[in-house]
Amino acid sequence: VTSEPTFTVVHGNLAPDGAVIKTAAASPALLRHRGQAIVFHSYQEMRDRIDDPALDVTPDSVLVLAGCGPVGAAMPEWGMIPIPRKLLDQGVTDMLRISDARMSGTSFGTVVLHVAPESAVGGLLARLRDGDVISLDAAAGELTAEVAPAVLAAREPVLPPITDLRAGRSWTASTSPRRLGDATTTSCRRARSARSGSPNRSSAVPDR
Amino acid sequence: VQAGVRAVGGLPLAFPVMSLSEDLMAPTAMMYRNLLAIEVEETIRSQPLDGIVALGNCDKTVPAYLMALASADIPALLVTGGFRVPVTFRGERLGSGTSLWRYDDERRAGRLGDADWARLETCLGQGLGACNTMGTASTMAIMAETLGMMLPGSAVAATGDPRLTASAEAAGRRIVAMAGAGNRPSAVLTEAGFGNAIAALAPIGGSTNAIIHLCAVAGRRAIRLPLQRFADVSAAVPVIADISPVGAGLMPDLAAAGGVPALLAEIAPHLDLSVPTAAGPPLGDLLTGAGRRGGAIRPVDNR
Repeated sequence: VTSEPTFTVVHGNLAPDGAVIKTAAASPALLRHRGQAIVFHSYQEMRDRIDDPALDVTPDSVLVLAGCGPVGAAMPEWGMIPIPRKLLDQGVTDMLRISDARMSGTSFGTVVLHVAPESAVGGLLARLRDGDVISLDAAAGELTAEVAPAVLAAREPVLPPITDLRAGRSWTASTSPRRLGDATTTSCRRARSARSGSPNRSSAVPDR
Repeated sequence: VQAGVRAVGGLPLAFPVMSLSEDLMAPTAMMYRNLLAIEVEETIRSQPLDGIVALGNCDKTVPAYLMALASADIPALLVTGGFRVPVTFRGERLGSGTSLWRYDDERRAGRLGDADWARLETCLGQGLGACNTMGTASTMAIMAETLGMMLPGSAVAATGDPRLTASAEAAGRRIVAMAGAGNRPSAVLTEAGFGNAIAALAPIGGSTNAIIHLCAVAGRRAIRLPLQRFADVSAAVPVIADISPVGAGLMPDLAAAGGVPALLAEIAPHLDLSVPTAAGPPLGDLLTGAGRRGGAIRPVDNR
């Protein structure tokens, strides 16, 4: 059906504990790619900026959505970041995207998922900024932010606030937002890494 | 299921557990997968049950059940509800999720108007069942059958297909026999069993979520599945199921091509054929005669 393998695992300074690409659903031309990052540190920031006509984005840009791992946001299926409208208008259908979130099995595109460690527990995604150059070489298994370690270390990490997780969502204009319960959100804050399957902290099996 | 249990002298008792709806739960149904696993495990542990048939569908329910059953470790089978029959829009069958994402881009680009969008919504919402693409629901059902936690041939079927009802009744009969024989999940949720599941995940172009869920289920049996293993197996076993979003077909096409038994027969060299199936005999016995029907399952040498 395709000559690409279903999954490829990549490592590098952005994902020392690994990340996953569904290479079979990706664009082969983007599996080796280098571009400037546009970094969203929350889903809301992404929604607010993605279709902004002033967004400084080209088809070669790398879209990054951080703060959405198991601890940061209960790991929702937000990894297939929408293509910015100004590029959709130009006929662009795929871009390199990177996230600590998951994506639906029904989704497709060149998306690096499950980046670990996630932003909320000290992952480098929290220290990325717009304009950083990111390179992916899927065949070589490499995902790298081309930023000097000293520069990264000097930056303040942008962490997802727990209030975002507990706020829930309001579905229509007539329903008020619901606050989620403490038990599950607290347990989520203690979830293990995606590479262990994100079980509860009480799980008998250690992370590594 | 209850008719099957009664037919062979068992006493069926139905009990409810929380339902994880994929579409609407905030912030994501993933936050509740572990909670459902705890609920099912503790319900099983706290009640005098000899065996269990876990009924569910969709992304988080199946892995949560597998986690719970792996830990509780009493004789157990899963029965899933099947996939939604595809509806046609603008002359093409809509694939759950996949078609929505494509048309959402069309809408945002101004190429799909409000009236067409409204019509698309009614088409996407029609009928019961899980996603008819190779989404996480389809993928996890295939994983469950491959692991020997579902009766052979039952994971890939349309919701409402009478064969699905028949396989549910068969599961009721089978669980009574399994309870009598003491067939526990720990006998199939083994290193070899997870090896087969990983081998089956590659040729279907399965969901990335299955990696997370399989790691969590294996963790319940103190088995660790390194991430790299999924990539290594993917490099060795090609995609042969022509199902969206990786391929062009939809789940009915995989059902017509013979479902999981036909798929596993095609990749038999990559499997441990000595592991037991949920029906009892080893996987190798099942695959004899499950061979090629063509269609959406390509031969490995002509993908």
